[in-house]
Amino acid sequence: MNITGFFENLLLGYQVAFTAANLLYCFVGVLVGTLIGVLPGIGPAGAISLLLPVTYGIKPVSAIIMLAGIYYGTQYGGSTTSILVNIPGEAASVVTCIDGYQMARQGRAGPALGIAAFGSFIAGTVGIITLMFLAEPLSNVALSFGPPEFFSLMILALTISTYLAHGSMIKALIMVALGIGLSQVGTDIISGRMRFTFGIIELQDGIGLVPLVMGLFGISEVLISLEESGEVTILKEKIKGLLPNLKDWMDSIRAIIRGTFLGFFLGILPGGGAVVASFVSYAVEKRFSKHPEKFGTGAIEGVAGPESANNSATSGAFIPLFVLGIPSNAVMALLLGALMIHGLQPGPLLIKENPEVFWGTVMSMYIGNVMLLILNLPLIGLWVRVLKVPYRILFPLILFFCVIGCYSLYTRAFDVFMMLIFGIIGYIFRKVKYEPAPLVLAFILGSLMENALGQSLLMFGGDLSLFITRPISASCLIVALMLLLGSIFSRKGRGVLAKIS
Amino acid sequence: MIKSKIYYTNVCVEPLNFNTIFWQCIRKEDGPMRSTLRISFMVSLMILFVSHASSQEQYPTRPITMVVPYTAGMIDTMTRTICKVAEKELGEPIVVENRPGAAASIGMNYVLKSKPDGYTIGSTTTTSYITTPHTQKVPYNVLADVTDIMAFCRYNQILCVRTDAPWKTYEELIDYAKKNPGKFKYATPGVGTAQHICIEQIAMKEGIKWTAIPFKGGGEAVLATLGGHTDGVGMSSIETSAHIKAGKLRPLLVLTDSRLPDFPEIPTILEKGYHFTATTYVSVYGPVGLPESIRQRLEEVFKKVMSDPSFIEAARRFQIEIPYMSGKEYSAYWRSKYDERGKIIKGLGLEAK
Repeated sequence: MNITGFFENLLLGYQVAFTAANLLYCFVGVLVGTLIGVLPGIGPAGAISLLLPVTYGIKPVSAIIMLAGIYYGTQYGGSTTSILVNIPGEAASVVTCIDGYQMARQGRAGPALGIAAFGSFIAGTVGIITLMFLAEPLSNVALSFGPPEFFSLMILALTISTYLAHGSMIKALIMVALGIGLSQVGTDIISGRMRFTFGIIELQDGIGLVPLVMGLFGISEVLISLEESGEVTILKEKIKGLLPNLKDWMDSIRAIIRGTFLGFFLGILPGGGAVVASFVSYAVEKRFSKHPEKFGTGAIEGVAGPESANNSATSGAFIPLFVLGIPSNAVMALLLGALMIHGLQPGPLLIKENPEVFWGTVMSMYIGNVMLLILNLPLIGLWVRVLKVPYRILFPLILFFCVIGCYSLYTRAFDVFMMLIFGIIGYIFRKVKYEPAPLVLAFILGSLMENALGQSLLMFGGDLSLFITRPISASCLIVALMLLLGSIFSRKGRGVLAKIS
Repeated sequence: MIKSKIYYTNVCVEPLNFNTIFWQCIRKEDGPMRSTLRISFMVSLMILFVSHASSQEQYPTRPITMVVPYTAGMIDTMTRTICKVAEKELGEPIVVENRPGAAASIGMNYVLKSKPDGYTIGSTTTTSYITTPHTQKVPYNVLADVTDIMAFCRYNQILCVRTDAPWKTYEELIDYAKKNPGKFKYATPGVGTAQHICIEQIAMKEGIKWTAIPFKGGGEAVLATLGGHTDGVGMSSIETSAHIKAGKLRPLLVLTDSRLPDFPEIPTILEKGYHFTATTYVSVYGPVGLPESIRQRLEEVFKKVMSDPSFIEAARRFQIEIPYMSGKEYSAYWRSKYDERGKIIKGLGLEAK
């Protein structure tokens, strides 16, 4: 790698990013992103598609800086409502609800929000550095993942999905099965046939992730809290401190590091991005924790890991976009459109022909992360006061934002209807102590897995041995097998086996 | 006042006679109520005349909704561009609404079920007319429920392989495919897409077998081919030209009507003697029953907009062609392809069950 060339590029990026106009666009982007993340219902895809026409009149770099700011900004803001009111701001913040909310109920909302912000900052920064140095080699990683590799990776992810639950294992498995079942609804891309659509035209694209998540987590939370009578607020105990203390840091640092690398890797691959990264990070943290039983009751690793993972995933997602011109998720597809609208040709030559776009965006991402940290930390004191707002004011507002966010995605009342149905289903689940988190992961993985399987079988002409002979696919399957065997033969597993026999 | 109403009807249909009839009417009244009656008569006539006349002669009088059945992308951007310029001509804003889903049929259904008063129109592609009604059950009948306004752009499709593949020309590929049935695997952005059907039509014509591997969208299809997981891909130059220019993909055949300005040495499917293409137009349409005068007005305005520099520039950036087709021409064009496409879809086993 050419060192002088590299520093030239850094200088170029610095020059582009530090103009007054681009600093302003960066700030606007991250501010809007944080707000969008905080508001439940609307996520980065919806926000960017609404704001895309606004960028038509400005320079290409400035447009990308702003839109990218919105994207990673939402990952900062999304954890806020997850922690404070157990309602995810957007799909990648779902797992943060599990432990973050418990921490808030114990008066530790401040440290939770703080570690989320710091974790996001560290992960974002590391992600950007990796993007800068290793963009090209890592794009080859994206290329080497064909359908068989995807399938094996999804199997691996599914193997750890049961760690998302902290109650009965059987119930978690039922939710996984239900999630996979729900993912079958829609048009099968391999055969073109429609499944389980019952003649409803809106179901042809499958059940939307946003209505599902907002319903199962958001609306159901509102319904559950309706049961509590009297003048209720979320915070039952006194607020203990506003920032994470030394012990919190010691507990979380490994989670942050693991989340960063996991998230970045998953962000490069098409399909899951930040959402899958956050789920997998939570499961990994629980799996490798010395006290897994603490998860679900307020373990800070359960906030630090996923929040870092979803931020570094956003940096990773930029690699296929900038190096190959191929978007790895819906938000990147919108950014691709934005690049084209501004006359840039996304593809392998983009970095060579328009270096100021790539390096300018990368440098502004640093600036954006710093801005976000500065924005979010002082606001913790403000957000924590939200916990004192009585339910009767708070929850109607949340419901309002959920409905608007859900509708604004595709201008479809049907999505709102689905969200409400899943809200009722989610309420029933919670009453009978079934946890929705494994269902959501299985739902995302289910359709990805099935598509990958179909494509692989078409590629192989039906020869299944190729799953094991292709190196990357084989390694994923071996790791999945090891994880499975590890749980069966662990002390807990042997105890269960003894009970059965 | 009944008498005056009869006169009023005459007045509106033949405004040139308005003056004589109007004054005749006024002069007929006499007595103490004359002036009040006269004034109220005149005022009511004027109000009725003005409002009725404007809705007939001055379309549009309120904002128009343009429904785009896709999320942000090329079609959405081109539609927004054409609308932004057309707004100035029409004098009323055109509000673009994205209503994606079910292969554009949700958006189309919304437009086709709305009032045919010219205030709800939509943009769509040829695929929605000739393919989608065969591959899925749609709640409308394209042959009966659509009024074509005009077509304003057309995107191409190219069949590409990797540069390290052994086939340097299209003929070499066909040769290989004839000798190795089922071994050539090409990626498509979905089952039943224009390029999938076109490539299968080639297979049917040449008597060869090759395997289509459907992906979710063009990005994944190109990625799979670049990574060596599939041997070829058929996608538009929007997705492929960057990789062709970077030397990663080799274009073998243009699957649409005309040669590409960027790669003029690549032959087209028509030049090879086939009588079908994967050409897809983007057009503007409205529900059936749209008054001809309104349809013509929109057709004229959009046609004028197509020579606007911002529109031409947007087309250049997306590397699409912008041939104009009037509503009548386009309607005849796609209707002629409807049955043939239906037969092929049945032959591929893709028809709606």
